[in-house]
Amino acid sequence: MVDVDKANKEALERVLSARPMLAGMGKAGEVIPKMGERMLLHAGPPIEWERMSGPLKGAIIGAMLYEGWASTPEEAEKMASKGEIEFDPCHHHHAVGPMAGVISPSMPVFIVENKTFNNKAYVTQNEGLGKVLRYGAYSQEVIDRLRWMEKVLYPVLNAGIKRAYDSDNAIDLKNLIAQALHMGDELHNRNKAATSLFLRTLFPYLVESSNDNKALAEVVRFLDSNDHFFLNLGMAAAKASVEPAHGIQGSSYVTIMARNGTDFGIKVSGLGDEWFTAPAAVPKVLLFPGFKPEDVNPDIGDSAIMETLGVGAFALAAAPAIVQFIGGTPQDAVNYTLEMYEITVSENNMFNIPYLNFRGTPTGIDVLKVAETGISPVLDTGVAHKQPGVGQVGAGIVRTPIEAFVKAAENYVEKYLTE
Amino acid sequence: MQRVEVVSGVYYDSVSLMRVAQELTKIDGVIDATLNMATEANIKIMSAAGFDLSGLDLRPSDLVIAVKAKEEIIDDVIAKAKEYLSNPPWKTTEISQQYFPKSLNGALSMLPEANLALISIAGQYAGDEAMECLNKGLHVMLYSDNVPLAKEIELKNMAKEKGLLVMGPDCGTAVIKGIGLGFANACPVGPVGMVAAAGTGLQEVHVQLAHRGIGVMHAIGTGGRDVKEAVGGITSLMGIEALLESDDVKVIVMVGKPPAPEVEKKIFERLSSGNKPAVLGYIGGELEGDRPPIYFCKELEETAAVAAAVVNGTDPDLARKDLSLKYENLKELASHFGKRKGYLRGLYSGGTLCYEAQLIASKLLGPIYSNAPLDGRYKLSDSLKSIGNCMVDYGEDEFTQGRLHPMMDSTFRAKRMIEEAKDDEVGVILFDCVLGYGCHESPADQLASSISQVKKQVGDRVIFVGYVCGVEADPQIASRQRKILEDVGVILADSNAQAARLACLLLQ
Amino acid sequence: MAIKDLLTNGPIVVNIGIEQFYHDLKKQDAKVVHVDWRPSALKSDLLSKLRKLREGGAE
Repeated sequence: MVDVDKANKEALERVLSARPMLAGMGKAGEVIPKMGERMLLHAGPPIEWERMSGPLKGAIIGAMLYEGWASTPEEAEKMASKGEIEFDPCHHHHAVGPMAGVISPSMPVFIVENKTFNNKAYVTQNEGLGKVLRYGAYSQEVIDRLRWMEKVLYPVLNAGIKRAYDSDNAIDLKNLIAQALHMGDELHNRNKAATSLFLRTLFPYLVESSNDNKALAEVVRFLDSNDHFFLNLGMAAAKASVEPAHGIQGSSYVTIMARNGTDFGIKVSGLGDEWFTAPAAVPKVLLFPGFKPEDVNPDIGDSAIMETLGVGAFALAAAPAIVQFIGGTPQDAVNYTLEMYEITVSENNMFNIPYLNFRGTPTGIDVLKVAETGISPVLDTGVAHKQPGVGQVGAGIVRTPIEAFVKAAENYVEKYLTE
Repeated sequence: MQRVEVVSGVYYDSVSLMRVAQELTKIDGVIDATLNMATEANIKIMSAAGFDLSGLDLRPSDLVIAVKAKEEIIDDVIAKAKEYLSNPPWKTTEISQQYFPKSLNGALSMLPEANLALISIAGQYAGDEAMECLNKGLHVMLYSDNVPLAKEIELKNMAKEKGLLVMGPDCGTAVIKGIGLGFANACPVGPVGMVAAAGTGLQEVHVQLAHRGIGVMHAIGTGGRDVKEAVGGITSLMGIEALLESDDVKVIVMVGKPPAPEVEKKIFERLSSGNKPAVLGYIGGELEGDRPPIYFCKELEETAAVAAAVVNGTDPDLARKDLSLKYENLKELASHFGKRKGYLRGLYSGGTLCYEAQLIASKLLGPIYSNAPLDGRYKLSDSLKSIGNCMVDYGEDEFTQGRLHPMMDSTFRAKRMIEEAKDDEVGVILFDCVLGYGCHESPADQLASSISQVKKQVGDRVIFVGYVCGVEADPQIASRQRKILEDVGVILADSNAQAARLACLLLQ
Repeated sequence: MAIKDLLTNGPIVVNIGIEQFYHDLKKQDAKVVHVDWRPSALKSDLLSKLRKLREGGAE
């Protein structure tokens, strides 16, 4: 008889003992394992071109233009639909991407190393707000920015990060997350404090490793103008922390939650490589001016890895201002966190919530508890316009589709409880 | 038209600004509204949304209020925007409700010392949930009905093994250490311990004891099927055992329909070998003669009167005689109203109250039609259409599917009251008004408004006889409820049995 | 015996279902928690299999 509690305890311990450090940077095609030459990684579970939603298609088109594989959007679309490009989930390559989450070979990525298990995770640099690739925009402005990020942002950051790492002062991402939680961030929709702390920590190394003041100033201004810059780093830290918990016999611990704009998918520690999917939820959130509910694209992005880690919406009690997105009160923020305790294995030992007497955040979604109680995890997320290239239309709380968890739970029962 | 206004040197959270914008767009005539701190990115967004910010010297510490609306209201809208910023209309001043866990485990992590689960979810789920609770070592009160008999037997056997109590299914009322669970009245505590199959049967005895100055410490509900042969009285016997053992309980009172012979025997034997007097109120039963210290009663008020005598150490037979006298005196009260012509129509929210009323009325008026009749030959084919002398139990399943229990809402019953009163063949309308926790905040008001309404049309042709089952300490306050009914001309009796008798006497 | 404790200590309640009962218990100063209950997402046979597992595996 399988001891699910013991297996989950093991999984949780692996996650809690993680030490994700910012180890360096590199070009995706060079550092990400098994990254093919004509391959584009994307957020969420596997999906074919025909089923992709607007923002993901737009991001793919933009990436192809950026790489020079196509010279017009029409050409890119033709190539993609003909199967000339290989698509694969970021998660299959130890990587994560926010919103469309498209990673192409020339894109610079951060390398996060989990010192406890020596595994790595990869993520691109966050582009900022407005018309950006991850929301499906592919105009010249977007491509130009991506090129700037490759030619200016990357070298400057890389030099600073390397200098910190080499002087034995590698940036401790887990530490930044823990501090940010005490400063009003929940690390999914709110990253302002974490971004500030990151810049502050890295700054001396940026200065010391720079010999181009103009570039340095551009980079710092860029970081200053982008409240969400840390999101990508947080996501890679989460990926690096949770991945070692996958593959434990008998464990019902959820190690991946991700969306590709069409499907929502999860993976469970003791259930092998199978994705358990369901149609992605259409978020009901506060919309920016000029947008209507019909404009909203289904849920998209690997950023649900933050909730998988035990922050994001799970730490909403630490970021009460966010709950205004749904016409609620700070008590509602607290209630979301309290609700998540009912479906998690335990509490975090390092991420905690001052308002709850420094109680650790709910950590380790137990797919069996989800199916049993009917409570599915909540996410706190940005929302895209369904048409490529329009951008973000709002942000708020989303309830993940329970069918994915039920499928996994049924699979678990079949695998472990049926003779 | 559009208007852009700039407020300098302020800071607002972007989320708050979005909320204000959302409120503004609700105003009739507003096409679009946006509020943003004037960062470079936000200026771009606002321009893209069609607002003209050219020529403005903006800093990130400036707040931009941009509105597109009908010209005549645009000043007001800007003013409203500023008002919402300082006084957000969605802010609640009071601390909102606490957290309700969504699972049993969640509840137990918040209240680990819990010892009882009160389950009132739909019958198809209630049984399994009760099982889970027993597994966690909790006693269970199963208010839910429509739990299959097989499940009940399974639960009670399991509970017996674990030394846990299962009260129900279909147990609407219980009292543990003076605390009422489900539908219960705020009666004082005292030396009586009850075991009851019936909901309103329990309530009536509980209330009648209180009127006689006698308190009840525990009232253990067993559900309607417990004393049938299939279940074998498991909960009744466990309850009796516990009451025999309890130092707080001096007299044991049972209330319910007569048990199956095997079960009755077991109950009697256990009580006989026990050390406490017991009053067995088998409503509608056939047993004659007491076997002190065990007494047998057939009606609810009688049960209370006898139990009160036993507690006080006075003669139960004297108590019965006093009661008979009271009932005799009702004849005089009835004669004041003159003999009435027509049928008796009883409309009840309490099942046992209706049952007892039928027992009494069938002896005085002959066969009584009902949706839950004493005699199957007199079952109403359509419960919504009365025949002859008739009593309807509104707590029956047919009326509670998709509707609140009649004790929680008398609207449906009050409507029927109007129909019955308009019928010239009807002489007396009889009803109960049950108070206590769980019940409507003022059942008397619900009934009184219909009564006064219909009296305008039918005058005094129909007499309304009622009984308020409750005590002063109940949330509804018994005296207030009585006044509301008396003010619209209802004749109130002091017990369910008296109300039924009075109603019959008016027609004899 | 467990029933004896229930009667001696009074009810400490987990209320599953009608919210009014929770409020009524609070009015009487009883210790009570209300469960905002919803049916499980699992079919009942799977649910009972799972529950049996928890019973068996609990330490």
